[in-house]
Amino acid sequence: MIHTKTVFLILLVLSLAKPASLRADSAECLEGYSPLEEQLLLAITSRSASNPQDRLPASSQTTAPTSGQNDTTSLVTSTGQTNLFAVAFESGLIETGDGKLTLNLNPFAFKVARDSRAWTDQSLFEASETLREFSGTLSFGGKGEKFDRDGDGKADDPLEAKSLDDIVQWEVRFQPKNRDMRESYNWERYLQSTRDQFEDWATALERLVTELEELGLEEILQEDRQFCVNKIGLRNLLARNAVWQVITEEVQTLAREEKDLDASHDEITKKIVNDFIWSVALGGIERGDDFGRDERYAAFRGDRGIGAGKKLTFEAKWTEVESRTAGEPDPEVLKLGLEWSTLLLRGSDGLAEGSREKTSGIELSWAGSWEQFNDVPDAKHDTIGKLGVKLELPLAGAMKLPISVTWANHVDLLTDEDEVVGHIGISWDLSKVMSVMPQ
Amino acid sequence: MSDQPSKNSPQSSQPEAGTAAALARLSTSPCKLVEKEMLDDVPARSGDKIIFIFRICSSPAQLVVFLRQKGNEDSRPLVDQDIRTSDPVPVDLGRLDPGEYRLTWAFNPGAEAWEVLGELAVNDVVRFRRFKSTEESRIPTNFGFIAIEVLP
Repeated sequence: MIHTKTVFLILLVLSLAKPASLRADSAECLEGYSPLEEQLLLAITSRSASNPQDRLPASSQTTAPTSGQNDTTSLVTSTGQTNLFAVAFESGLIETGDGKLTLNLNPFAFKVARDSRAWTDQSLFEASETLREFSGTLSFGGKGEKFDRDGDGKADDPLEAKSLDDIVQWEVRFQPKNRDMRESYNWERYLQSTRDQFEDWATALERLVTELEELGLEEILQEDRQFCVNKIGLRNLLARNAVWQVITEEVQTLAREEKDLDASHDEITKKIVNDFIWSVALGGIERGDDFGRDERYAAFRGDRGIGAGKKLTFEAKWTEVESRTAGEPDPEVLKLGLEWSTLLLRGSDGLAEGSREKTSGIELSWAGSWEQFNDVPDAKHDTIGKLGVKLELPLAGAMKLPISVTWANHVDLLTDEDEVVGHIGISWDLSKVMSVMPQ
Repeated sequence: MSDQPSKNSPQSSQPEAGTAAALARLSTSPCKLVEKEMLDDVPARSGDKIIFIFRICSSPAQLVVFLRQKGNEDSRPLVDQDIRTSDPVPVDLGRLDPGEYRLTWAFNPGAEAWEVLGELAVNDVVRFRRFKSTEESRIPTNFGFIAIEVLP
């Protein structure tokens, strides 16, 4: 017995062969097959429905560029440059939020803005590989440091920048590789790994097409853009059992080759998704006197996939902060961080009421960080250790609500948290939500 | 099939954050369908110069092309090559003897979004043209076929 989807596979193949000459009124179209069956058909007949990036875990999809400076819920900053040019494009190279204006300085994005062929032409895209290795951000505004401004011995709340040059933050990144499938080092691996299976699949497809043509079955089929199959023709087709016996073998061969192709596709895609990616960043913050001290930092960041939707991220960062007192050495901080993250309920409807869009899931991460202070006159401790768990709840569209719980080895270190109980601090970041609320 | 907006067309939806497909939508692809599609079988005469022209944009791909005369059991590919340019890739079918032929092509795209233009030219005149795109085609199949009837 031939499965329903196989029947439709054959009909689809035939209908695609004769789209124009066999078109008929939509009233003659067969109705009643489900969207699921249609999806099955697409999955079987089209590699486009199962191409590499469709299956990438959300963790390797584009993320907003991160500097980590004002993210109170994260202990570890990721590489943040994967497909950064995509972000730069879609945001028009400029982002606003958290009282800041951020320019995404990506040379490749600027090149594409000037000549779109650098994006659509694969050879030109590959020629710009070096440009994609560099990126940066330049931010103006935001919130300053919490420190004693008036000399009363108590730390004052940080001030919001009022003019563009009150707080200027910059970062330059170098990331030699990313996971974009169009990069030559990725797609060459991909095609190499699927080459034999694709050739076998294409050969089976060609044999099936030929077999069907020899049988003359296409004469009863038609197509329009609504995926139409001739109702009367189908009935006649199904009545001819001898026809099905002839083509069953070819259909089964095609299905077998498709399965092999899918398997090789999945294997190499997982490898690429799990590749180790690293970046080096140099940055700084220039603050006016009322907004805090200047900073400079260098960071080495990396991440590696460790399974579907799971990722390990690490960061080593050196920061030098301008001394408050003339003649004293500038305080230094060395930080090491490690984060494990996973996606929960991936593909669910999320928390957005009435939302029809599937979400990329709830991101759950565990992180630990250790900081060593040198030449910090007002520091109560030389080291800081923190462990944290963080949930990012999807609300609507790309909007997320991050909630974190952090344990610190010294309770006075939990200065950025919204609530502190014992050694545990709880914080949430409503800034992204508030930024879209009516004022 | 670009004469009516699909559910993913730029007119009907905003780009989905972070997808390469969204970027492709924002760009002007050299593979975009400029002239009308021509999807009927192609007649030719023996000795005509027949060339299949394949063009893919926004993605690299492995292309396999078969040409089989009706009744012939041989199904070895005429072309099997990797493509890393959006320039047209011509496949010369040679001077064909009279008979019925089936040209079948399939490609394995290396990236998420792509646009493909397949054309068949007889004596330098395009007689068949088909456009497929992950963004604009309802069924963005990665294969196609066309019958060629070569008369004496």
